[in-house]
Amino acid sequence: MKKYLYLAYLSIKNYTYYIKDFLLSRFFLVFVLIIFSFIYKTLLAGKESFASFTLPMLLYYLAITESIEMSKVLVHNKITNEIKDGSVAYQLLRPISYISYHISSAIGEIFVKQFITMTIGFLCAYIIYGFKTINFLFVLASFPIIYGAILLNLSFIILIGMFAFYIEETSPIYWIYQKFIFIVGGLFVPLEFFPKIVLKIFKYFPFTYMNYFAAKMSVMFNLKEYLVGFSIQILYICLVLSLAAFLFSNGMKRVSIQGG
Amino acid sequence: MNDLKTEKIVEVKNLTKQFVKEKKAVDNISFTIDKGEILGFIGPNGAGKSTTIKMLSGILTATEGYISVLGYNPSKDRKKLARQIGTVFGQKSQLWMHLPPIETFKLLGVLYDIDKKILNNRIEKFIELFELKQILNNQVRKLSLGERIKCEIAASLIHNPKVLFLDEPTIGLDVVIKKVIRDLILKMNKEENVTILLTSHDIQDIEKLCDRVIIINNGKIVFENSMKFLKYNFLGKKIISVKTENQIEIKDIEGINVLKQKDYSAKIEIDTKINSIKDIIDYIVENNTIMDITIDDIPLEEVISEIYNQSKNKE
Repeated sequence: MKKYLYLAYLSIKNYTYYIKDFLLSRFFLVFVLIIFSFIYKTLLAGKESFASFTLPMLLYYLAITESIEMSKVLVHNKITNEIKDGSVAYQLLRPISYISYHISSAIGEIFVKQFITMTIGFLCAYIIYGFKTINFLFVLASFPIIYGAILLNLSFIILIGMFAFYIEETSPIYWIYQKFIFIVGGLFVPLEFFPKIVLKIFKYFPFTYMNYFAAKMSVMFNLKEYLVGFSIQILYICLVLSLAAFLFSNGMKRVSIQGG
Repeated sequence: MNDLKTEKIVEVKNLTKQFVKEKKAVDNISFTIDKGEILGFIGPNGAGKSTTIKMLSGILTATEGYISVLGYNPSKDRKKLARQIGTVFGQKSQLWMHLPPIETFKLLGVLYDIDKKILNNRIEKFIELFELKQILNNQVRKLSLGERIKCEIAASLIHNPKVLFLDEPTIGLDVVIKKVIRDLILKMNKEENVTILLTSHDIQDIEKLCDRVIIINNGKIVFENSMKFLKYNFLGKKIISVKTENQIEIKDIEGINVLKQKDYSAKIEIDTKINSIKDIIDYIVENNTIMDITIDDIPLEEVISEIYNQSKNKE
């Protein structure tokens, strides 16, 4: 366990070397939140709420989904490059599993990014609508599923990275994955904004249990949904990582790592 | 299973690796490495050197053949073997680019479960031995190639490996830094009694470091003998390139072969068994006004073709 924690710690240290760059990039979030506060206003067309979501709830919802989205580490690119330039050789010669190495060395950075991004998002939402509009105990209670969402997201990105053992470029797969997150994952609006039948279908996709589920529970807590969703998250994480491990062990047999 | 008393640290028998149907990257090679030995593995690009190292370290699985490193089967026991071997791939980096090298050293200490006190002692030792004090806290990406390679070698030795695989560690380095790196490798071999397999394009690396040499070409071993034997039989020739201010003048002397000559420059091959380099340079300097002069080894490809010719003549 010590080695995984140390890797996470080092990834934070590695990331915070460029903290100014990071903070600068978060300004984009402020811009997004302001724009969407207007869009949501138009969408609700003078009504107090839509599908039980009020304007402040929607803005806090967006602050959470964006904090997850903007904190991603593109591990699939790292894996693809490692395989292309052969530096995967070093990682394979460590007494630690290749997948665990990448999870640990990404997770520290993701947590720091997510926490700072969410804080900035909440500050913006507070300035626009005030603190009392959502229950922060719900946000606190939702941290396990926010981290569950982050881990599920990371598992998928690692799974995509494992395709680098089979194909030259993994970015097209990631591109498709990202589009699913945007639509099925409820990045900009809760899935309740879609027709009921669509919501029913979307609930069968793992993407629903990332941004949407974590943000919805934070602003509209429901214990039963929370427990069911959290269990589904864990199930999907195990499933996706098992598939990644399978692709890795098969991929290792065909990896060539040519050249000096 | 893991009998370290045995002299043979590495045993390879009839090893073959085939990536594509038409060509074998490594073709039925066999060799051994003794404890504490430095074995040179040389050959041109694409000869199969790196592929062999990757099979020995367990990253690649052999198509055919037997490998034993410290009693382990590398492809089956990759993780166990990883604790006992160190690797440096000259063209790749194991250091965290945005952090100072000390951070990677500490991380490797944790990954290899090294006791904190022992780790600190080893880091101190390498700081002194490799003269890392000035660069230890600089970001890796800001280090020169030579400084980075020093750190790469130190990183690969942090966990006190019994065998070190060095895959072209001096590639891209200038002459001065190459010498520093060679001295370090020799020091580590003597002080830690670490067994070393070194691959290189550079005959000088092998000449200065290795007890025994294997030359590999097109996946096959074309030469295996002591460094002394290789030096006496195949590395007796040097190439002098000279540029002069005057029309160049070179007499027909025994042991000299003029490879190329223009008005103000010439390339001469010298057989050092017949003439000493000093005598030839003295002669050139006395009879010409020198603008530039360099001495090189004969290219590796030429050594290989000479080895082929000699073996054909014997047949």
